[in-house]
Amino acid sequence: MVSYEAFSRFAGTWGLVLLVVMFVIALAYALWPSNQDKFNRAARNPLDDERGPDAYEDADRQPGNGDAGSGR
Amino acid sequence: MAHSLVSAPNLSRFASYLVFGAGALMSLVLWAFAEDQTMTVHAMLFLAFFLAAIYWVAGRQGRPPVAQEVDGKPNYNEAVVKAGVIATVVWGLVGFSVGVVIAWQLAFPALNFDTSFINFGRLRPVHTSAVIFAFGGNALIATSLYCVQRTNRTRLFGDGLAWFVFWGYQLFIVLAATSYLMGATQGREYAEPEWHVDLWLTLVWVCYLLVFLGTLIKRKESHIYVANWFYLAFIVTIAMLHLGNNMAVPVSLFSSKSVSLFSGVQDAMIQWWYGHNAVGFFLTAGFLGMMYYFVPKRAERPVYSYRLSIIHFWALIFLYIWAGPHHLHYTALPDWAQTLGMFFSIMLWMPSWGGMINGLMTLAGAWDKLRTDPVIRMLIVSVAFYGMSTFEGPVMSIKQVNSLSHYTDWTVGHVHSGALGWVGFVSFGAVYCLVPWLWKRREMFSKRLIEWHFWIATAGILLYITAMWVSGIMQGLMWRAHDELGFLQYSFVETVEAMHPYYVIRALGGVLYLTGAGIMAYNVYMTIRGREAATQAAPKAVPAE
Repeated sequence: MVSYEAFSRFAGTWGLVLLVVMFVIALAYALWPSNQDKFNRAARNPLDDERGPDAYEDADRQPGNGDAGSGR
Repeated sequence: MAHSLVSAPNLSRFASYLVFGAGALMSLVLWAFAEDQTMTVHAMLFLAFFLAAIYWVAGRQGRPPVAQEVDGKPNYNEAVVKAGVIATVVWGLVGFSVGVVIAWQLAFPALNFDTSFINFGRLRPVHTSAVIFAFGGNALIATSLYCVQRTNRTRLFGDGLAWFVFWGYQLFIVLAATSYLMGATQGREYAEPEWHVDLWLTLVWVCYLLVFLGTLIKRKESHIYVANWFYLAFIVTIAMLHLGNNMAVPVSLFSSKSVSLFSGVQDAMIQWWYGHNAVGFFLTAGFLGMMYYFVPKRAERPVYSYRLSIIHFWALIFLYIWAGPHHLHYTALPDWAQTLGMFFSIMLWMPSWGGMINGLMTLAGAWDKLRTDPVIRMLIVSVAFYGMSTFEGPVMSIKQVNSLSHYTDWTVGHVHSGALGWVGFVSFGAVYCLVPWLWKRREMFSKRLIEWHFWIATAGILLYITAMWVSGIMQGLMWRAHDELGFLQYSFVETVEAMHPYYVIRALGGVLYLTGAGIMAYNVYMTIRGREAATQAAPKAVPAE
């Protein structure tokens, strides 16, 4: 059984280091220059979906709406 | 053929009969041996649910399995999202109405009618649960199930399972609300349902996680869009919080009463570890998923900075979980824990505003949409409220400020600027987006009614939060006012009397907000019915590209 003192000392030292290192890894992933292309593509993900606000684009079979949508 | 008897659909139907049949039997046993009124009523509700589920499974016998793709495009599961949108609107009306009722009860205590069933103490958790879990939860489930399919270009995993999540969640809401009215409560903020309802929610929530994860696993996109990260963090963290906070021992298997595993200040800390992270991961992370999908989608522009969205995500994840102790300033909680909570709350201001800037700046170069599209305006104003309440929160978490604001109406006003402004408006915006998309209408029945909704609700929020600022700060100052001899200047009842006008203003603000939601419900109904207002029959302009 780990004592409360030992546990809290571990959490306050190595636990803190571990969390900070993990956060720095996340930051590095976000800012890594070679990831920029991937992120640019990912940012367009919701827009390149063929439906949604542009539902009429593929809804030609619904006659009479007369609106082709923006086609993205 | 023996081969077809063990096929997947047969197997899953057999498993469904087994699970729901066992559930129905257990409900019967529960009904027979129930030791209190709440348990009896809940056993009946459980039984009705399981019988309806068996009937539903039987009705689907012999149906061909749903196609994953139609004409080379994903055959998105929209039925369950439609149900979620309708549930969002209906529960929103219920939750706001109860809120208005208890606001008037505070202003005019006679409205408690001297009965236990609908007094303030019982109706207040009905209001908080209805707006957070019923309105907000349905909005989150519906939008997450829409977003995860679209951004991963694949049909939702688990057809029957998704319906179980939807109806099981509605049952959870009904169980929770009925138990409060009958007086059964754990007395834990935002986690009032008793142990058997908590177990049911756990089951539903695990199925929700399975549906979401299953869809992510069969995705057609290599990168998972950031909105899904926020939704996933919301689902996983709420599961963890729910299990941690609700560790309780029932006094008997047939009683609705339970006793918390923790006691004293540990119990309080567990409660607020849960309570603040319910704000952080239910009311923030989940709705940020909504923001990161619906703001770019509606504005037809990519999010301002995808990198910032990733930093926003991880900073929230790493910081939020430590902020809970700020609810327990100047209590028996150790001083270092209070300071830790305050420190992390202040740090949270940075990622919160990073996220706000990311949402607002998505409109960069298209600010005119704020004027022309009331739905965009609603979404952007919600992000502005997110920024405002995530600034106010860190300020209030500072011990010296908290010594004035704690236990006063200022806290209530702060919660409502987040709930009405941020959570409410971003959900309304999502509903106004989703209804035409799902029911294949050009746009909502009436754009003018969206304008009316926006302005009436905004006026309501302003009345609400300004009344609570004045009332709360006045209340805090009156409590601490003393004369030259050190005697307190005011009795408690004098502070209550002084707050009366502000309670009336707050109730009026609530009435306005409810009116706006009523207008939305009418607009949604007419849109689903396929009506279009005569004034907007002209086709919208299509930008050249």
